Amino acid sequence: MSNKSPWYYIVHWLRLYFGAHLLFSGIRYAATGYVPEIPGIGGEWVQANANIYLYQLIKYLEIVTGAMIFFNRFTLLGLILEFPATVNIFWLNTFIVATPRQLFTGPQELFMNGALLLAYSGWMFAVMRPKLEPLWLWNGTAAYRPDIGGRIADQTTVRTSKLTSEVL
Amino acid sequence: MNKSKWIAVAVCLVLTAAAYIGSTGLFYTQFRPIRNYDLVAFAGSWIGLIYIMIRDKGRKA
Repeated sequence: MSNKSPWYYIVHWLRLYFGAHLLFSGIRYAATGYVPEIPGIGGEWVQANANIYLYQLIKYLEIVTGAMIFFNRFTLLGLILEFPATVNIFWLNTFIVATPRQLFTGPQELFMNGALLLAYSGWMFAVMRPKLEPLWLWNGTAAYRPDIGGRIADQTTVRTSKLTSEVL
Repeated sequence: MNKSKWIAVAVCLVLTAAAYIGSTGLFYTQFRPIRNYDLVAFAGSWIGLIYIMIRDKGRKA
């Protein structure tokens, strides 16, 4: 994305906003133990999560992912790690709690994480290929070769000898 | 500041206004004063954006 495009700055603004939003939420919990009061079954769900320490885990994860996203280090990884919590907040606020303000904050959370994932999705273009061969993370540079997606056994760049010749 | 940057600033102002209205409930539900939570996010995003724009000032794409 060129910095001549307005999108470049809009995406960075949104990244900074979402990162700061997560950082504040996580640090506030770590420093004060603040848990918002949620009415009804939504509150029971959050309490149940706290009882099995999942709520605490997510709050500390927010500090880590918030820092990753805000400081622009491993941004895409941060966005992916945060996404399950985002979906949870979206569902809880929009369909379960569903008070007027939560009807805004639920979709807002999904919009921020989703729009940022879309903005960075060019880096995971391979997910849009219908047929892929297994590829370890540490062999990831092979993903940038033009013949990626073809049969690995056919790729001279990965193996010098044919698999079939070794089997026979 | 070129045209692209002004468009970006305008869009970010709209996003800021939307986040403000959403958080406070202005126009659609009982008003709640803006929280520190939101103010920190606004400060982080705007200071960061200004920093990025200043950093890019002399750069060619």
